Amino acid sequence: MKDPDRRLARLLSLARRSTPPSEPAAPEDVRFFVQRTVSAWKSQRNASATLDPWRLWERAGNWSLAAATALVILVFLQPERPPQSNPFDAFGPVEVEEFNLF
Amino acid sequence: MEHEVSPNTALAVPAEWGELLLRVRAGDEDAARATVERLHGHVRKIVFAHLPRRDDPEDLMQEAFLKVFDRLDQYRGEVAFENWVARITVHTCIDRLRRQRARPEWRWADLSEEQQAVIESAAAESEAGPAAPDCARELIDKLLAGLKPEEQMVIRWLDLEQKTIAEVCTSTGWNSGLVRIRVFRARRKLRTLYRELEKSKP
Repeated sequence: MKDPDRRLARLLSLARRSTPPSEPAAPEDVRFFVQRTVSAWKSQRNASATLDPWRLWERAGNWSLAAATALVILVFLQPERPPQSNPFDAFGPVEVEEFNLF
Repeated sequence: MEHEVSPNTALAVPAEWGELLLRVRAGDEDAARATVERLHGHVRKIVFAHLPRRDDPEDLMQEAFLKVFDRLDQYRGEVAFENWVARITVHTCIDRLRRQRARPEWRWADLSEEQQAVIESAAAESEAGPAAPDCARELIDKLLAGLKPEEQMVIRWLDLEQKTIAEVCTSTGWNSGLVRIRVFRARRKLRTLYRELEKSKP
């Protein structure tokens, strides 16, 4: 093993003996955390349950804007097509006789 | 709004959790409280082991619990509920590490005197002082900050906590091949970072 690798291995084995980063939490801290988390969960549920009309309107506006932008980009990116030839052009100009039926 | 509870999805859930989880899914606050209380130590241990020490662990723990409650409908009982929660917590930590990843490159001059002394004592293979393990841990944490979050985690699990590959697979949902590849790459990068650190020594 190369020397730096050996030193790194030694550092790792030293680090394994370090004090664990997490001490058990105090009961009152746990209680406070539980309360805070459940309140956050409750407000999250309430927020998703209530339909805010303004939020809906805003979302509809965003979707319309995105669709319109995509459409405009699509139209601009369309390759320009050559004018289509008329299959009857080969027959040349045809003179149309006018009939007077009456 | 009450969540719809499908009895079919609850069938595979272990009996010790089944009723409690059904109540949480139905919006029962007491059940949610009991679930957080039961899993607090488990989640706390994971977060403290993987989060950089300067970060707020409680904030991340709360984020993990909210994700657990949010995805409760997806739990089918394929793995123990504690392991399922562990996976969500691990991935929450990975997301956080990914967001704050700065990939710092540490140079000799950036180290504290104690950290320099620890490296010197490792080089001389002399006996380290009583504070050396914590100092070495800080040093390793600094070096790990230069790796990808998934790589940091496998090094912490396998080389610091000395867990087995099977345990890492259970906690993450990754297969053993993936864990082996990640740890191989992570160790190679860690060695490179350490060599660069030593090279920067005046």
